[in-house]
Amino acid sequence: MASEFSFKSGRVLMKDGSRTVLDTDAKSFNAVPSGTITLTSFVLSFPDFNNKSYQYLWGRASIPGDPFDRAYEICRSLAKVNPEETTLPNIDLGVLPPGTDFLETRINFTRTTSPPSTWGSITPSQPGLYVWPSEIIQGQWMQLIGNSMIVERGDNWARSADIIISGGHAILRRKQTVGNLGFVTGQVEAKENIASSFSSPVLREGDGNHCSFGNTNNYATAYTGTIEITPCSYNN
Amino acid sequence: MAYIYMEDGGKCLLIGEEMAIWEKPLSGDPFGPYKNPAQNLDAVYFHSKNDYYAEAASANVPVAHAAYPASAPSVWATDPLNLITVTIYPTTYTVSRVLLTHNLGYVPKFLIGDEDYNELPASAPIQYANNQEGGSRFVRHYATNTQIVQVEYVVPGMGPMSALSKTYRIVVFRKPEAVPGKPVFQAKGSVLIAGRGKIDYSEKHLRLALPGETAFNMPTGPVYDINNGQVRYVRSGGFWIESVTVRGATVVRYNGSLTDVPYISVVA
Repeated sequence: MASEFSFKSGRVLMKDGSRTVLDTDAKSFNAVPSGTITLTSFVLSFPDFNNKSYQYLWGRASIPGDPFDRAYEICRSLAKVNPEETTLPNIDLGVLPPGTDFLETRINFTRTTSPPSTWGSITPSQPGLYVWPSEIIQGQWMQLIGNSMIVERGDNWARSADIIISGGHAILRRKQTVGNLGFVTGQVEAKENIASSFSSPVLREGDGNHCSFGNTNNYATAYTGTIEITPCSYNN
Repeated sequence: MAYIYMEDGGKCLLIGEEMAIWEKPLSGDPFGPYKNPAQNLDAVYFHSKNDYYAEAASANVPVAHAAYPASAPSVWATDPLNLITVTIYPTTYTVSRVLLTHNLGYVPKFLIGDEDYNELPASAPIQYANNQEGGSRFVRHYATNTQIVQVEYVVPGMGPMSALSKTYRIVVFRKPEAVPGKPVFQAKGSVLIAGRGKIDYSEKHLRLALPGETAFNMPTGPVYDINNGQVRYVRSGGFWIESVTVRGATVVRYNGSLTDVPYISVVA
């Protein structure tokens, strides 16, 4: 196929047959290898949720057929995370060459700090059943198209990160959100009690022996790995 | 050292130790972009010191995403009298598939779009069924020395997920290296080379689309926003899909303000 190179009327054009190879009217992505930002051992982190609480469940009933007419009583406090909208401080990832208008980015991360697995219990101690979710494929190179990603998400919560060009720098932004009604991650404490039916309940919320309210789970998360940002220009 | 210099209509072309095509500056050193392309990026159309994204492999891959039933309920906690029962719907599905085998021997850069040429972010939602406790399907992609791999992740929740047919359009780029021994510029017979092979007539390169070309919609800004526990993903043309949380009769929705994202049309 015949190739063609021309420079006329302010237009440089390279063609291979009918296919355009290079055209100043349709600029190629110019990447600047000397401007590439490579951050190894970079830590992408999100703090603990800032509003944790509990959901309280309680029940009491006579024990069927019990010769002493005793009652069974149980409480469960579930570990809950309440609504929040948190924008975390920006992180400066580095200086970009003047004229950069596009970032080609890829990442390779492994989670190094993880919230506890879900559906476990603090008291009595019981490990969670399901690993805390992640949108990052651990230890693999993911292309960050759009320079934004959801890092973790679940039913009614999410954590996001994106990289933008601001003031000649590549800036990492991070947010985390928990929606209205919050979400439950497991159990804080469960207790049971068997007592005379004439006894007053002791496990209700506010009773002297109620289940714990303190959700001590730490939901902070962190990923360690490499961010590689290649500055580009497509516009004149 | 022989130099070739041409100037026309505000464009400059110089072939010397390096090759460059640039927009002539309105002031200052007219050869500034040739001498220092990294400091004059917006003026440079081509420079042999810059890198270009040349296609090494591409494919259009149809994928039949399977239907999944609602998650089976799992009783996480109960008690002898069934006073308090905690039931969860934990079933998830993860399916990995190879979309393209490139065998380049290194981890390449790549882009991936859907059947409508919308480039997909790192973890892209492709289906929301809005089921209680779930109802979402995502695809995630990564590159290895030999393959581009898709990982599909499905959370059905309390309702089923219907089947979904998609086509994924993938372009893999080679390392943008100059080829030792190739000239800084060559136009001989049918061979046309610029920048010691960084631009080669026989390859496709990532560039802006011309009118009428079938092009990818490439975002130039963040495509996600999160708010009220939900994720909104905005595609080209201001079209978005977003998650919701369903809790009985209550539906929790995104209340943020992301409605549009800048996109450009590119071909490779």
